Amino acid sequence: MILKPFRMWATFAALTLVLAGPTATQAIAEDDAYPKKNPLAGNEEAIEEGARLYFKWCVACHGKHADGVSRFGDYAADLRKFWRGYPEFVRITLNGRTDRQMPPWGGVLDEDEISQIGAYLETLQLEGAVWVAH
Amino acid sequence: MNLGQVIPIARSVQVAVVATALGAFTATTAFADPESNASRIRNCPDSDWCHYHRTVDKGWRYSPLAQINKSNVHELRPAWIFQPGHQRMGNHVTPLVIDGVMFATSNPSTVWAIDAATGDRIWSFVPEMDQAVVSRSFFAHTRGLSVGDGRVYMGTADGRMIALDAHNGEVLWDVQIVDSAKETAGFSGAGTFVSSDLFVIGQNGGEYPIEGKIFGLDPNNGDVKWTFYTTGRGDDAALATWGGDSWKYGGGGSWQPATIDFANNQAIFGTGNPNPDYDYCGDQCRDPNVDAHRPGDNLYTSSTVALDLDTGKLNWYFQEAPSDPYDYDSSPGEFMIIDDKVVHPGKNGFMHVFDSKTGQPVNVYAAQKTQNWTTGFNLETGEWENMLWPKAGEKTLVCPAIDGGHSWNPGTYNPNNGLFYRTIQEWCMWLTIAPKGGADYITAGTETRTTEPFAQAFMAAEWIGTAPPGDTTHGYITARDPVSGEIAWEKRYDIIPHSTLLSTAGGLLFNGTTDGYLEAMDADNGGLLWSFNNGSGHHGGIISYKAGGKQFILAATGHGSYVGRAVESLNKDKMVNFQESAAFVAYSLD
Repeated sequence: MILKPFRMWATFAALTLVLAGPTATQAIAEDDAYPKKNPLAGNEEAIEEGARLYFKWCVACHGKHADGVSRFGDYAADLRKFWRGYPEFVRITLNGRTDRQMPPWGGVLDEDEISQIGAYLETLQLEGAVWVAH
Repeated sequence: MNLGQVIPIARSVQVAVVATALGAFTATTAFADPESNASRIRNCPDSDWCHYHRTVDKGWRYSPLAQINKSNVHELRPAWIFQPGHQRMGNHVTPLVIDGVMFATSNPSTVWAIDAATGDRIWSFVPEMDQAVVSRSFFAHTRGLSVGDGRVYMGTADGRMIALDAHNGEVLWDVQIVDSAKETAGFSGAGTFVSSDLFVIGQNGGEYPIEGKIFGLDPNNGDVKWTFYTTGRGDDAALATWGGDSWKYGGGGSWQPATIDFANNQAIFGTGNPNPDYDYCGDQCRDPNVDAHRPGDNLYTSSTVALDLDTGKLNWYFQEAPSDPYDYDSSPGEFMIIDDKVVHPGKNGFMHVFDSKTGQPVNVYAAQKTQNWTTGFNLETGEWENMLWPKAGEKTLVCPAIDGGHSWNPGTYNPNNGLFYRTIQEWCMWLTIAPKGGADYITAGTETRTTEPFAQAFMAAEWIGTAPPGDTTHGYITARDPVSGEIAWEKRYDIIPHSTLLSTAGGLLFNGTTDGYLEAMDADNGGLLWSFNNGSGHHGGIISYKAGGKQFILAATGHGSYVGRAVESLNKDKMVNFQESAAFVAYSLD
């Protein structure tokens, strides 16, 4: 069974919001919407499922090696060197960067699935990759 | 042509507000009043470029203008430059010029009206696009647009046809023709304005598990008058060439404009490859009953099709790669009508000559020197002989490469000397087709057919571009008799060129090289008479027109496009400074 980290995190975040004042609440929601590290990192089952999802949804642009080289050319991001940290990985995947032809995947992939893809990509990381946000 | 006064600011704002409410932004600095009635488009004046291929009924890309000729072309100088701004995917566009006004597009689906004499912007139209569709589409680019009866027709990357008022760019109608939110594939821009009652255009499709379609539309309002399904819906003979219901996901489509054969009341289109791009059935693939994604010949994909203008019904077809195991779709390549023949340079590396009335092939000859997928087409049996069938999981050398022996950049036919000029690409690929169930180590698209919530590119193979045996990748421009294939002259390029070609009554042939040069050659022998370094690659149209009494040559410049990227990947040392870009550069004698 795949863990459901986001539900747990949502509960924690909600509790945090209740304990904080209104101004702080907004700041916390903005900064801590997602955990700083992927809760599924290293989880073998999640990695396997993440690979399956990667080769279904991501491979057409990011390529079979996740190096950004595919039939579409070699302009997509090299995900082996993803350096923006896990929270930004989730945000970019959900919302896309349409000005750079990265589609929004919200409504297609849920946050658990994005976490699984992230867990798979972490296994491919090269020097310079940053998955844990500071 | 009349350029009106600069529009008052208050009115300009009103126009912008109305346009924005319609989901677009129109910016107008002046009015244009080009005469573009149906008669003018069908009988294109020498001064104009009325259709993607200049005329709707020939596909020649020949300009009857001769002010610029062999004796003075060395004096050619840049007259103006217009940069449309959006650079991603480069500039594939062939602009039109009607009565002194240039109509051009930029990626993904923006429209520009430009004073063809000065390069000044008259108006622009930026459609509000479904960015989710555009950003995930293989086809987030445009190749051009169409004009007729005072309207500018634009097929958008998110599946709409939009008609604009040629006068000021205001939206006249905006109709969703293809459900691109589901199918991902939309339009590449240019269709064909046939008459005041008919406009024809095909949708993109081969990379996606969808039903490809070609549409006959009412240019007055965008109503669909007829639809031709390129994977056979409603046609028992065609459906018999697909295993099970694979035709429902069989791709096809048609992504380049048609040529109109008025004598036989038909539109000549090419169709895209079947989906998925590659299949694991090897030499059994033509049998519709074998285990495969899309067993059978997969009619009418990778085919030339002649469609009745009134009904959209099929008059005749010719399949250029049965059960296409290589991605040799037939959409690329112009459909020229020369006397009573249709001539088509195919992505499969062959030239096809058909009787225009019956579709009977009268000559099919290899133009690419290094192709290895067949020993040729037998005119008596009507079969491609000794086809190469790559086995799933086995790395196989296939020539030409996926980007074709001929690509989508059209050549040109000069009726004065009877020569057809065409760029030929000499390259191959190491192809490894995914075995049944997929294999992540060779996947180029999704591993399996994905249609929900929207279609994903399905190209289950790996291909690596490589040189032909014993040589390097290279290209040729050939000048030949298009029917017999007899070569008059040819010129080798170490970096494959990928612009369109232009021939003129001035005895000139124009080509744009991938490494930056616009060049003028003597059409009779290929001798270089003039060249100018545009500073970027050429992957779009080269046209000629007259404005203000002066002949212009205009080139779409800008590195980019899938083929351009493939060429770059094989010539990185020579193109290290090239970034994706876009401009229209006009030249004149003073």
